[in-house]
Amino acid sequence: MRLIAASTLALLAAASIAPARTKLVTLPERNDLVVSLENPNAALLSEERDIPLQAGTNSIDFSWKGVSIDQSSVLLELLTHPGEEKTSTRIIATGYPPDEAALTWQIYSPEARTERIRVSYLLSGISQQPSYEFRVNATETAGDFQQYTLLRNVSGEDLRGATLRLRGLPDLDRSLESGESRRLLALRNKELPFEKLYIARPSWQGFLGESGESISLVYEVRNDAASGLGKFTLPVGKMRLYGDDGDGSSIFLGEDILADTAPQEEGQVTLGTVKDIVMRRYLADQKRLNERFTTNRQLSVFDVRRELRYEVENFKDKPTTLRIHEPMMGDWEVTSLTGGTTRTKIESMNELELEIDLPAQQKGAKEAEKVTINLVVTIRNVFPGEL
Amino acid sequence: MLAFPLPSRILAVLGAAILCASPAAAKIDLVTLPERDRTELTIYNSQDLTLARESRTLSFSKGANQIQFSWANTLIDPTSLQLDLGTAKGLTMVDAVYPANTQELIVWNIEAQEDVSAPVTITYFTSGLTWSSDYVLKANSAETALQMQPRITVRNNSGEDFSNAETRVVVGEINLVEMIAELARRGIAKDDGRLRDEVVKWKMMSKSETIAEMDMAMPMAQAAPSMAGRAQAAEIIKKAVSEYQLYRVEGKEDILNGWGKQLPMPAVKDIKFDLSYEIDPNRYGPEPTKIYRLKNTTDHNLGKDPLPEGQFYVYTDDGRAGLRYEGSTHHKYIPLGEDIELNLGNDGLLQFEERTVRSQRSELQFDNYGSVVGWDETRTVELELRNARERAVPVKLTHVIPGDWTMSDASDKTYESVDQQTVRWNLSVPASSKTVIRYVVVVRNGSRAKR
Repeated sequence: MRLIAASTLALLAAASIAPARTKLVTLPERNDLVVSLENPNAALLSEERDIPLQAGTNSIDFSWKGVSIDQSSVLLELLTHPGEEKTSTRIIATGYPPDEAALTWQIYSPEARTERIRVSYLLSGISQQPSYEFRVNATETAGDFQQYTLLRNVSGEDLRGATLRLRGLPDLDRSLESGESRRLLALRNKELPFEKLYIARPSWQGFLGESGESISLVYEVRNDAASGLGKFTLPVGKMRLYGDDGDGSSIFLGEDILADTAPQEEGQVTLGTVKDIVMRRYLADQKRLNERFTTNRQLSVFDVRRELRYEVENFKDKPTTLRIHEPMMGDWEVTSLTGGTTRTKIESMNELELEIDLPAQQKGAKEAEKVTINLVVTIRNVFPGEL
Repeated sequence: MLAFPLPSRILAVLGAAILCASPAAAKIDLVTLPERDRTELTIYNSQDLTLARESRTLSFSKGANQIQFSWANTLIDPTSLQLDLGTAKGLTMVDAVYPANTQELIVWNIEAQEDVSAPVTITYFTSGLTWSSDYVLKANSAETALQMQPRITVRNNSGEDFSNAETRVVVGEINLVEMIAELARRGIAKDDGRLRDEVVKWKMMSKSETIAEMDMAMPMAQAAPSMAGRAQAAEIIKKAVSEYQLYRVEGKEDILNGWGKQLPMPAVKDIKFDLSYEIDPNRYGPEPTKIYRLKNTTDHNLGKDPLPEGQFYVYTDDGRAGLRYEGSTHHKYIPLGEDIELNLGNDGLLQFEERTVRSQRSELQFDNYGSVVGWDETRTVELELRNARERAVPVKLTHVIPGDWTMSDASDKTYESVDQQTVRWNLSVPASSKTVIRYVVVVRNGSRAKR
């Protein structure tokens, strides 16, 4: 049995009644039910009803069964005659009866009249789960970006004729029955530009040598005005990516979780690994310099010269760029970086970011042009056991 | 007027004890059952303690009189029962008897010099009544001003119905040696056999005196219109008593056993506040926290009274004639002039990133054996704040730097030192942009460290 009921009760009628509470004299219809889901962690329901009031103090009973309402969140607002004037309708007290999912309001009205009230409360069991679909064009520069919200109602309450209010969306007049889920298109940009990135994240110790390092295919979208977005945070959710297969159909490219992406921020999703770019990374040389010893010939402190060699081949017929997040440790600096066209960026002492430009494979060429990069870093004042 | 015709469980019976020579005399005749003239409840929230005061007008006959008071199925502390004969002339309290073989009953023996009708007051401690306060805040959609509706909720699980009671609530930490509920359960005759040491006894006496004195210091409440006649939100009359704050709810309430009753106070409108963000890992964790910041001062349309501890429910105008739920947060007691900080969690619109860009070692110290025993670390750190809102936001950035350090350079030198390991910047991050603070700190380690 599910019921959310508001009832008015002429106060005089209750005067002679024994302890059991009298309820439900009239049950005015809900005029309007708004389900506000703008806060992703809470469903705030607001319902409006027209309540006939008698002059003097009136009692209104609000009770619920089979649903979970945070009782302390229940808020009553008077809409027709609010305020604290003599002519205003006023809330005098709220009563919480023992062992009941209910409360009673005592409302004073200076005259017999109808008051529109709004009752708001937090209802458990209504959740929203965002997800994304991104159908990218054949050139992988832009795509049809769709954000969905899956609303689930396991609250026990049927939300019929409700206005669903989600952040950034116009009000939607939809029902959401108990047990029902409904998927809504929350946001769409048919031409969302994105950047396609090839990213390698090797480890400090692991050198795969001839086998080649793993390179990820990453799409990066910006949640900003230039992308036609940027008004609201893109909430964390699964993104499924589809590509144009060139035959008028589409192919599933992979899926990943898009993290919460605030306006002006970029979000990255990893689709899979790349086979057409090969990077072999070698520890060409690593040795200690400036060693200082204790009197019993134990190492005390030293510097390290670390030389890495990258051999990268691009088998695609287009020039491209490979980004490497090279892990770093300690007090390091780049001593030399030779070979190829590279750019470096240091955002944190734990990482050197390298961008290597790769030429396209020439038509008819027997093999791809190999780009060889040599990176030498010096790490100073290392204590034994640190690297 | 809503009547709750439940019989009171507390009975006061006045008997003319004509045959009172022997305590074994048969129970007195029931002469009158006077109604309570007035009931006043003073509810403490730091302890499960309520001081109840009932006034009744009793008729005494010349000679010995007995007043019998019983409290079956309630949570009254029998040791706390007091009968005050007031200023009536010719009445003498002889003693008070807790009869054998019966619990929850006291008989006061009173000697009257002549027939007289006099108002008396019975006071006692009871358990099971609690109160709490909460606040409903509605901010405008621009989040610059809000309306606050304070509410006080009284809950009655004492076993007793209180009708037409004047209610006062007390804010403050009060000391009790024994819990009232335990004293009520134990009863007067059922001492647990353990001798309480003298110190405890003395403490208990002095404490009950303190409470009594504090209570007596309050002027008697004026008779107020009953609730049904009241057409206003209840006025709260507040007063400081010693270190406690006492709030009297104007009017009279029926507070029945098992019920809770929430009383809205007049709303305060147009309270200006600052929307700000705070980053303080020790207080709020790693994420930036959205804070509504205001003060309990007249500048903010407050500042009339301290605000009791309670839950704040915060809504904003959603721009569509509805409310958006922002969250709820608990706030401790707010004295006059104190800052109010309402923590609304991380809304994701201010991003914070901390990164060490460089760490260099120098000033190595060696012991006689050549082992490194001390060194300096020169660390370059960037603190980046990115504001996604379309308005500038103030940010309080509290940053912990462990160890013995000296700040050698900072791109923003307006920081203040909170303690030896904590600095704080008060910043404003412009709309839709980012602010980066870059600082260099020298941290002395091992034998180089002096603190």
